[in-house]
Amino acid sequence: MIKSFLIFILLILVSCGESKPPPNPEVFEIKNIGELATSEYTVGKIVKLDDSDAAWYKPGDRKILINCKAKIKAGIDLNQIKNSDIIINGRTIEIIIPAAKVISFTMDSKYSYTAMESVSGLRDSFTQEEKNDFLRQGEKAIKKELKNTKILDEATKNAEMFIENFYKRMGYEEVIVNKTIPE
Amino acid sequence: MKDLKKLVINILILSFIALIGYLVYLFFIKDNESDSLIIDETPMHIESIRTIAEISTVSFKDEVVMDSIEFFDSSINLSNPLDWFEASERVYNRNVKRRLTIIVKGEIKYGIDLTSNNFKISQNNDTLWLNIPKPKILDILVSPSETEIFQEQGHWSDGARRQLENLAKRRIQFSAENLNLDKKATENAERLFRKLINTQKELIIYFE
Repeated sequence: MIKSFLIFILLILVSCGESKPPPNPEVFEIKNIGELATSEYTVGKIVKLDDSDAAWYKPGDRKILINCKAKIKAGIDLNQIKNSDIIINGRTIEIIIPAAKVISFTMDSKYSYTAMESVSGLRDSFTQEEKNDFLRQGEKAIKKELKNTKILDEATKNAEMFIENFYKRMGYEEVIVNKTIPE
Repeated sequence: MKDLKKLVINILILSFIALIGYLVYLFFIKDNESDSLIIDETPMHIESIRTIAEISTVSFKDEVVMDSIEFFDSSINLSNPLDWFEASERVYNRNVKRRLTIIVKGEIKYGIDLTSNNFKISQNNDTLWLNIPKPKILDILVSPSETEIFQEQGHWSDGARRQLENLAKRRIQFSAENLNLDKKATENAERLFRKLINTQKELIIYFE
């Protein structure tokens, strides 16, 4: 009787086992691009979470501080320059460049670390899934705050300087760089 | 027979109490993953600003799955009731003690780094020579929004997750290198410079 009961319990457990097979990755993508990155910002942010105001029936609290870093590059898309955007008149060249944009954003886990983690009472420790979610929120906040920096202005200025220097080294005496006004 | 009946009833009562306890823990105490925790607002600080001149000509995007799995290795004694919990855990998890599976979407950019003004232009009446460095990997881009923790069983440290993410990055890089993308990056760079230089002279581009 006991044996059958134990076998029954084991069978239930086996039937409930959740073992997800690893997913198949998507097919890769190769794209031809032509981006000139001219300004690189390294920014930092402290991702802070204090869960002490959680529901009254959850004894204890959870606190975490994660230090993260992101590297952002901004510049112009050279592929957007059409042949008609380059006008040569003797020793003078005039070029219209597109508006600057953020070209790349990376927030490598190599530069992110948990600075403080505190869990008390009956609360659960932070899982990696939760930490990744906090970092996602941090990433979103950084992307939002980037608009308040001068990264795009600096990228445009540096792109103008690079293009001017490039054509001057080709022998042009005057290089006129016109910027496209961002939408 | 009577004792056996009593034992089964006792086991059932204990199981019921344990179930109620578990349900109370599950619904009232356990930190539910679906409860979205919102981080506090903190300022972003700029650590450095650098003027660069990098021309990316090829972008390669890939998605890799990294799986780290640890099995129970020691045997247990089923006649010992203290081992019963572990036995049920082993059966439930197919003898898997810990498992972390992550999906990382990454992007690699190949191109030319002209930051230190390391290019030369020379010309005569009918030919223009441009010497530029060979294309290389400029960026390996990964971010938390492109990383998914697909399965997390057991406790995992930050270091273990970071190690998996680094392996994922290396695998993406390996795939890119196998596709000879540096050659494609060279061809694209040549096409781009021909468009930008727009000269009547013969243009010869050297990658060195």
